[in-house]
Amino acid sequence: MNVNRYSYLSFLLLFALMVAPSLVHAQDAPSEQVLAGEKLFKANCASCHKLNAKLVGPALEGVEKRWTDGGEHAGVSGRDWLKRWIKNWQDPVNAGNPYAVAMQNYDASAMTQFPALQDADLENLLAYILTPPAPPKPVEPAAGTAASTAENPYTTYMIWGLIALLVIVAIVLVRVSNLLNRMVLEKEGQPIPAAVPFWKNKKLRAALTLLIVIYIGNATVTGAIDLGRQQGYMPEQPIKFSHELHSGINKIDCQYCHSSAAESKHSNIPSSNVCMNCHKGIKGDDPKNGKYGKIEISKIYAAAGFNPISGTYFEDYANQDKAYVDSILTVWLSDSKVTATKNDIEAVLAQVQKPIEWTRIHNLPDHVYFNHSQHVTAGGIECQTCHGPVETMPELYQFSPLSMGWCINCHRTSEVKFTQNPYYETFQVYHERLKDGEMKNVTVEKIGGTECQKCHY
Amino acid sequence: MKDNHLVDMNIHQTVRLSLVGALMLALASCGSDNRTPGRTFVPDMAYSQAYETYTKNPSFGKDSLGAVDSFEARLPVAHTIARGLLPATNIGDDKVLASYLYKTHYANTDSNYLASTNNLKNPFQPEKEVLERGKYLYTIHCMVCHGEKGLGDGSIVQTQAYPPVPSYADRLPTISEGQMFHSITYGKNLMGSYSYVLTTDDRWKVIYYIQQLVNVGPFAKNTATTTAAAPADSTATGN
Repeated sequence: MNVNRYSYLSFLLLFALMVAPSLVHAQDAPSEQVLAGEKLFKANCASCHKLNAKLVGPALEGVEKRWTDGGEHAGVSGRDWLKRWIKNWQDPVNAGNPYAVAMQNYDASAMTQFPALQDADLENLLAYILTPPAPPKPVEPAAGTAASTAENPYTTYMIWGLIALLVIVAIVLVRVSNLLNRMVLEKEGQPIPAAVPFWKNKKLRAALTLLIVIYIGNATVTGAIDLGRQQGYMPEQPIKFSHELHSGINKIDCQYCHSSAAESKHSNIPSSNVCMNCHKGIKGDDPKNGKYGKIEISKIYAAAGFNPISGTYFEDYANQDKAYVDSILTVWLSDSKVTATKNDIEAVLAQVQKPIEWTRIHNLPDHVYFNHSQHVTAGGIECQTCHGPVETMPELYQFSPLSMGWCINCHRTSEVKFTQNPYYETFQVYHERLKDGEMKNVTVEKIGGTECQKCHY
Repeated sequence: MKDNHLVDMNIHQTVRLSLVGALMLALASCGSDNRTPGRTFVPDMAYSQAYETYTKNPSFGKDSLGAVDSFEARLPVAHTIARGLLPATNIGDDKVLASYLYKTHYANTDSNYLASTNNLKNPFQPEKEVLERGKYLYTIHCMVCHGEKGLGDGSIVQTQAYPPVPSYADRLPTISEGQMFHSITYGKNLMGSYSYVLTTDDRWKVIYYIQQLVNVGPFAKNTATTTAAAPADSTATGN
């Protein structure tokens, strides 16, 4: 009875899920005018205006009503003043339209003028702003990308289960064979030897001892080698930053943030102004930004001194009253479509007026010299060669062992991009040999890449 | 008696076995926690005794040099040009020098944005090396929003993570190279400042590459409609 009811319910739910999107779609089929307006909006307005939230300029939802409410001025309707404002905002200001005068200093940067927009364009634009079509679903990342890269725990469990089963079978078989042996002896009337408990079995003891010695020996040697190596190190970071989202899905170049990798010994961790290049606009208050979006992005605001409600930076942030900043961020986080817990808010407030202290993952010992620009700019090596598939890592970990053997192996086998590379122009003999065909390629080892003093001095 | 003996043996064995087991567990647990960096051999050789880029330097506090943090890496001193970043060419030209001291001489205001058309001049010629460097930097820092061809269709716009970006082809005919320089230096509307990563030289090189993408400025084709649409004062100096 129960089962029947549940299956009926789930069938109904499935049906509803299948039909619902098409129903919504059918209702919202946008008109030609709205579509033309959307195109114009995206090309001209969207870099400063959102419909439902403040970006650089104000939210445009209900903008038509705000102007019509402003009333007629100089015999021209509010709606027509709005159109004249869009084309050239100074026109209604100069004409003394009170709403335009009130709005002219909304933001420090003036609105761009659009004299090229025709009246029909403006009508399309206003139609789109009045009834925007439902946004299309964002591109979902291919399911299973994370699962396939991470080790599947079930495989491990199954292997151990299988081993346990085999051990049990072995024990049972040994006992059965012992029993049969004793029965045979009993039948032949021979004396039966006293039963030896299994822990006194000499063969078993020898085998166990050997196993333990091998295990301990192996653990000692690998443990000693691993001292000071951090392969797989995945520390918790102050912000739940996903390289998969930023460089994998959104395809941001590694060097967009880590720009000094091409220029200097050190590859930089981006300062918060680099985050703000995008996150001034992407505030994570859209539920599509996921569970953590708004909270984690707010930590950048707390560090950089950005007021997400007004869309401006706090003045003289280092000496700003912390309680004031806290109150604004608390309001920002409480008024949320993504629920922020008390702990979440506390974590954000702890970041106020403080630099974000990321935990360093890749760390060579001090007695090793390593230069990023040498590898990135002169060598032209992809970041992934050493750092692994970072664009698939939701949480970053150290991919390579960064051991000396690993460095040396790569230097022995890697071919230097020798020709048309001004950095290696001075190696005249090698260039001649390459030309004569005496040498097929130049490895890093051949230009001194395995000399001790190259890295240890 | 015999039973007792057996029990004794049993206890001994159990104790011994559990000791071995505990030892094995202790060894196996070494280094299995990937949240900690683990132990190191000779720590004073592994961890730098000197201050590194991101280590805290006690000499710098919250108020020293007006800085909020105490990172060893410091901001450049105000009103200075760093070594190696002086203009390579045309250093005598005021309009060239102005761009190298732009941030200290021109604030981020709308009037300076408009005036930059007459205040600034690209010190380079649109040569092959200049455009190659421009392309390299454009690919890393601009393409993600503005798109490969400058149509405003970069990857983060396509994934709808970022609001749509205007196309260069629509806007650049009316924007001068000086205004482009001002926008890259200070940011404009939703775009942030890129002066932290693009040196003055690099900014001018990127500007040439962008102008070449949509055939404006020195790359304008005389027959194209772009010249007709552009006001006379906003075309680049190459014309």
